[in-house]
Formats: sequence, structure tokens, C-alpha cells
Amino acid sequence: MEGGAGCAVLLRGVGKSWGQKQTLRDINLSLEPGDRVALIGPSGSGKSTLIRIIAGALRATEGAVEVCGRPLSELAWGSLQRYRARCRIVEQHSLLVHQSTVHFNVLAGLLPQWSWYQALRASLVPVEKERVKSLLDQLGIGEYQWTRAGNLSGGQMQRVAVARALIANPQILLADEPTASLDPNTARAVTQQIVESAKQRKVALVFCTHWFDIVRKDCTRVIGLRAGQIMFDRPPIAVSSPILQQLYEGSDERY
Amino acid sequence: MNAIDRWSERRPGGPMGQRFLVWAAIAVSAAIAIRFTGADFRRLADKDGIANAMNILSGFAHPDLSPDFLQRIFKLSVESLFIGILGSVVAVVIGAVLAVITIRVPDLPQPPKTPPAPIRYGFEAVRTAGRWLLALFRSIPEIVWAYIFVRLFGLGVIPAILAIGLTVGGSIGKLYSELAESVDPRAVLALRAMGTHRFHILLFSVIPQVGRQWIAYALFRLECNIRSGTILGVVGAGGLGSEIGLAVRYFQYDKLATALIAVLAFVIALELMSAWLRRSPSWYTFVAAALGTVTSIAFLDIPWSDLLNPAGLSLLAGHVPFDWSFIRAAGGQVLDTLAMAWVATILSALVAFVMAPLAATSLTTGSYLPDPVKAVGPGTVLLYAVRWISRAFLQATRAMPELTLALVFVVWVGAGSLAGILAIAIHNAGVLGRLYSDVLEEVEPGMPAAMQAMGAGRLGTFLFGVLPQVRARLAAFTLYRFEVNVRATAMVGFVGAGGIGDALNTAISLFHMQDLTLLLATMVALVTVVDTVGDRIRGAILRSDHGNKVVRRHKTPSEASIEDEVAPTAPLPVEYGDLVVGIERVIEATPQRLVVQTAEEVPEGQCFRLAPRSRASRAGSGPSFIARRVADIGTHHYVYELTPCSLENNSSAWVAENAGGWQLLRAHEAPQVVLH
Repeated sequence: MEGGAGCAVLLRGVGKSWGQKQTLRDINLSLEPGDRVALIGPSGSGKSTLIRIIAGALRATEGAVEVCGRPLSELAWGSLQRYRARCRIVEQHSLLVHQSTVHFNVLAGLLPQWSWYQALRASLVPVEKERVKSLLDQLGIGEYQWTRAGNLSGGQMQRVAVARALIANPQILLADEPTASLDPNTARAVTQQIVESAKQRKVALVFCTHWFDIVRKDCTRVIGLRAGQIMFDRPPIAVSSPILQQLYEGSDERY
Repeated sequence: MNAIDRWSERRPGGPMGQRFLVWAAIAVSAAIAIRFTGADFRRLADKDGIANAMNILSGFAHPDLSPDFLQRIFKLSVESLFIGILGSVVAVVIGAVLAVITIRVPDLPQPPKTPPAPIRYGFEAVRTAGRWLLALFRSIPEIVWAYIFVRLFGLGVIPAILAIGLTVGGSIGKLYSELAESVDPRAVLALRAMGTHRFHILLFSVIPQVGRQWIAYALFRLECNIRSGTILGVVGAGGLGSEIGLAVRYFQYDKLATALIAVLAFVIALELMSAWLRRSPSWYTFVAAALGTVTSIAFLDIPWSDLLNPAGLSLLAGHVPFDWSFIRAAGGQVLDTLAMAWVATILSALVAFVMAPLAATSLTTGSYLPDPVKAVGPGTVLLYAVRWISRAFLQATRAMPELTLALVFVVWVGAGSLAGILAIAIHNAGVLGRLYSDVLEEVEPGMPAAMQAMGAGRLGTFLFGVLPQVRARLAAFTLYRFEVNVRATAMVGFVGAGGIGDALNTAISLFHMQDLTLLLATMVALVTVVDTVGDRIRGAILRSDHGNKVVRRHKTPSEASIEDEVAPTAPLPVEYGDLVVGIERVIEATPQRLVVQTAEEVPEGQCFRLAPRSRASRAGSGPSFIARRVADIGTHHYVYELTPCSLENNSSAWVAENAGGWQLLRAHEAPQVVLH
């Protein structure tokens, strides 16, 4: 299908090196619609790199990312752009435009589907007010629709970033430690909202985190990444403390 | 040890000898330049010169004050104002459109696939074309554009508006795209990663981030544009300048005097007005500009139909055989222009170097000591008098546009490069003097204070405490003004004051298209080369100054107002929107409160945060405070009590340790112009 709508994403022997340094090697995994994957592993294990490769934003130096059986690098430019629009990354830092309103920031999620005329119109007059409002309400920040994004707290900003990712009904939601810069209570709340939204919308979710406990009960698979390699890929029920200890061995991070 | 080190060590005096060499080089080059331009300064005071000067003066003794003429002058002043405002509107439109075309939006690093080659190269070609167009627009002075348009569309206000639109649009466009390219790339890349197009990213991420700065800069340029509106008339483009041009042509010195006084009054009124606007909330300025635009369009008699069928277009078709000898002549004109600009810069630097310290508060009536013993006597009165006379001199010379001065000097000493040199030197003395005294007032007070505590006099403090700190920046400012003067030389040539402008004037008058093209190309190349080389040298001068840890303070709006672009490193006051106030010294510091002295007023009742002076570390914010004014000690010295505005901060002691190196920044963004 065009741009990979409804297809599984398949990673075949994907590796990535920056110059001499190899951050990922021989990653094989498939991502089906409805999958909710917790991606865990110590810092520097290649989680962010993997997320960017899945999203079509970064070139794999070995292997290929295949969508509907076709490698990303062989897609036409337009199809690649459409594939990118179907994958949405929620980053560690929300990367909002602080000077604009929340509404405007959320609308930015629709940009890939808009013509230049629609974009110009949307930048001058507020459009899609109800759609944005209902999405923000679901995330509990409906009252801030017309607030400047820069005036929000960290947790609210992260929710806006989630709204920006969800508004275009993506097929794959990639969360790259979205709660790392939040306090524990807010982190838990935001995490739950992301997972819930993914569940409701049947979006394939890859959730990168150090706090495995929070996502344990909601994910369908857990992938442990260590030194750029997949250490395990199994259901959460089969992830035991010794395995986690082994994964995080030598690093003093919590899990 | 490299060769240069060894060489300088061998010479007696070491660095001192090196400094002597630099001064000698400057003196010799100035002497050669004077010879080259053939300017004979004796013409100022020979028999003809004195007679001409007396004629002009007699005009000032009996200015034409007949009601009819005064009414005309008033009408033309208003016209100048409208020209400046509408010119700004055109400039912003041209600048913003070309900026949107030329802004480089960062790409994802190492994407799986890049856009197809035709798209990439197509974009690159359009972007390059946009950049060249901007460079072309801004390299050619307003007056040249104005005359070209006068020939195309006939006399009137349209040429002036278009001329300001093009020249200023060129520099606005460059600045806008530079600002846009300095936004945080991560927010842009986040949109790139989801497959967003360049145009959409500009609309939704880049422009919202820089919009306020864009508007602030446009409003800032408005003042300069209105000032230009008073002079473009000398080539027939409407406004006050047209009356000056006529008066000079017909030797009507009484009318000339009235018109010149009107220009001076107009410019000073403008400066007072914008000084007031800068102190007020910034939406005042925005509303004033918007009202001005509407009023201008409503009341200015613009012959719109002329725009559609330029009368002069038919003249362009005439083919003129190309003359190769003209290229050599153009080369000569380039050297002539450079020499004139150099002589004028050196002359004005000499004047400014003497006047600036006399106009600086800290070096005359002020003191570097916290609470000095004040002995009032005849000496104090004299110091105040000297300071005010110097300030008035700098203010008056700065207010007079080069072009107006050139017209006067063409009458006084006759057409030729001398008139141009004098005109530029006088105007530039005012600008440089203001820049110098700003720099002098900004020095770190530690060293001069220590010297004054030991009983050093004012001259000694200046020479040994202040000057060593600012030498590099004074040199950088001077060089920067040289670059501006190269452009100005082309302008004054237009009224017969030598240089490349003279030739341009002839080419436009006669519609010699090839000559004109060649001259304009020469002009663009000259300006580009001078700017690029100047940029490099200024950077090197400022970098070589590592002995002095004087970090450039952000220009506050009032400082940035003086002339078009004042900064020696960056051509713009980027921080124009923020209020930045330097803390001069910390008087008292306890955990509960902080008493500081500042040179500028701080709005009371607002949260400010403390930020380090250097731009790089501004992100690391200090604690926030609310200011309350405690006392004024003389002009430009205010004492404020700062109390914490949030509970989290208890670090006044830490602030005291860093006294002088910190400044107050408005904690939340200033209520500037907000776009909705």
C-alpha cells in the first residue's frame, strides 16, 4: 500500500555506524499494527538511533527497513514522506514552538497532509478548533488550547507533543523517553496517557524508557537492547528481575 | 616560535614599535589618499570659498519665512514622513518575501533518501538567486535607485518609496533570513522527521519563533527610512529634499537656509519621538506605524497609474555602442571612492576621538568611585559645559544627512571630491563620536575606579584605565563606519561631490544602459568586497583583544537607535526585543535584598532575572528579582533595591561575587508586539 499504510514494518539485519563507532548491529524485528513494544536498555544502547531508523528519519548503514516488503531507501521520495507522516516521534524534549499557542503547535501535526494553501490559511486563521479541542480534552489539557506553549509546565508541554503526534492518526507512535525530564508522578500520568491512546487507536507503539515498571502491564512485547544488539524480545510476563539485572549490568541506572 | 614573534621581539620596543608601525601606516595611507583624490583643503578658506560661505551664511541670517514658503516646507515635511513610512512597508514586503525564499531550513542528518536531484538543485538555484537579488538591492544606495526610478516614472513620490523599498528591503531580507537561520534546529528537525515540507515548516515553526524579532527590526528601520525620506528629493523624488535641490540649483540661499533648518528640526523631532516610543510599551510603536501607513496611503497623492506604464521605458530601448575605455574609467572611480571614504573616515575618527570622552558622563562629570566626595566649584561648571557642548556638537552633526551636507559643500568649495569628503567626515564624526562614547561608558569600572581611588586625574584615568580596555572596539567601529562610508561616497557623488556617484548620475541622466549596468555591477562588487574584507578584519581585531575580558553588552534599544546598524561584529541589534540592563555595581548584598546601581531605568514591579553578560551563557539563568527604585544619583545613574520575586532564590551572595559581570533581563518575555 502507498507509503506503508496498514503494513507491518520489518527490520532486516539493520546496523548503524557513525564513522568508526557502531551503535546498532544486526537488528531483526517486525512491528505489527496493534503491537505495544517497550524498548528498554541502558543509556547509549542505541534506543534513540533505532527509533529514528524506524521512523525513516535516519539512514541504516547495514540491512534495510522494509514496509510492505519494500525497503525505505527504494521508495519514491513522496512515498517516503508519506511513510514518515504515518510514524510520529514524541521526543524527550517536547520541541514545541514556544512562541505559538498550544492549538497552533498541535496543528503542526497535520502539516504533512496539507497543501501550501491550507498551511497558509491555517497559519492566519484558527482552523480545526473542535478536533484539536477534543483531542486536548482527552489528554486533560483542553483548557490550555489558546495558551502560549512556552508558558506551560514540562508535563503539559509533553502532552501537547503527544497531541501533535496523535492528531494525524498515525500508524506508528514512537516515544523516545518522553518522560525523562518529568517528575515521577507526572511521568507516570503522561506514560499512561500515551499507552492508553495507543491502545484505543490501535496504533503500533514503541515506547523507549528506563522505567519499565510503568509500562510493564500495558505492553505486548519487551525488547531489551544492550550495546546496539537485541538481547531479548519477549512478552512482559517472561521478563524477570535477573534478566533486567543482566541487561543493566555495569550501569547504575534504575529500571 | 614563529617568524612574526621573532621579528617583533628583535625590534626595540616590541609591541610598542608594532603599534607605531600601524599608526604610521594609517597616516601614510591617509596622506596618499588625499593626494589621490586631489582634495585641496585650502579651498575651504580661499577667496572664492570665503565668498561662498558668506553667501550661505547670509541665507541663514535672512531665512525665507514667508507664510507661503513655510506652508510649502510643512507640506513637504509631511510628504517626507509619508515617503519614509510607505517605503518601510514596501521594504518589509520585499524583504520578507525574499527572506522566505532564501532561508535555509536544516535537513535531517543522514536521511535514508534525499529529495530527487531536480528538486534539490531547483531550490538551491532559487535560493541563490534570492540571495543575489538581496545583495544587489542593498548594495546600491537609495539615491541611485531613486534617480533611476525618477527617470522611469517621472518626478514624484513613487521613486522615493520604491528606492527605500529596494535598498532597505535588501538589508531587511538579509537580516530576516539570518535571524530565521539561527533558530533552534531541533524544533525544525522534529517537523522534518514527520515528512513536512519546507514552506510549511517556515510557516509553523521558523516564522513564529522569529516573528517578534522581525517586527522589532522593521520598526527600528522605520526611523532611518523616514530620515532618508527627507533627502531623496534632491534627485526629484519628492519630500523636503526637492526644495533643497531647487534652492541650490537657483542659488536661493534664503530658501536653502529655511529648508536646512526644517530638515534639522524634522530629524531631531523624529529622534525625540522615537526615543519616547522606545520607552513606552512597544505596541505604541506598532500602532503608530500602522496608523502612519493608513494615513500615508489615504493622504499621499500617489499616481498609481504611472507605476503600470513607466514613461521612461521607451528610452531604455535605445542602443548605445559599448566603449571599452569605460572599464578603465570605472576602475579609477573605484579607487577614487575608496580614497575618499578613507580620508573622510580618518578625519572624522580624529574629531570623534577628541569629542567622545568629553561627551561621556563617566569621564567628565561622573566618577568611577561608588560615592565620591563631590567638590562643587568653577571646575564642575566647566565640566558640565564641556560635556553639553560636546554632546550638542555630536548630536547636530549626526542629524545632518551626508547628502544635505554635500549640497552645502558643493556650493562652498565647488564640485569635486573635497565637498564629498567634508560632507561625509562631518556626518560621520557625529555618528562615530556617539558610538565611541557609548563604548567608553561601557567599560568594566574596576580598573578606572582603582586609579581614581589612588588620586588619578580624569585624563590619566581615560588614557590608562579606560582606553586600553576599549582600543580594539574603537578600531572595529571605525572600520565598520569606513564600510558604511564607501556606500555614502557613492551617494554624495550624486550631487556633484566626486567618486563613482558622479559617473552613475551621468549614466542615468543619459540613459547609457551599458555604462549604467557596468557601474552598478562595479558598485555591487565594491560594496560586497569591502563588506566581506571588513567583516574579516573586524573579527580579527576583536579576537586579538583577548587581554581584555570586555564582553560586548547587548545593545539596548536606545543605543541601537543611532544610525542604521551600529554593531561592529554583527550588523544588527538582535536582542532588540528584550530589555537588558547592565548592573554597574552592587552596593549592598544580603540574602534578603540586593541594592544595585544601573545606568538605565528599570521598570518597577516586574520580574527580572539575572543573566551573565556573555551571550553564550545567557541560557543559564540566575535568580529573579523585582526592582524598586531607591534613588537617582545624577543622570544615568539609578539605584534599585532588588527583592526576590520567587521563593526559590537565596543566592544574593552569589550575585555579589559576580558583580559587574551580570545584567538584569526581563524574566518573562517583554510584552512586545504579539501576533495573533
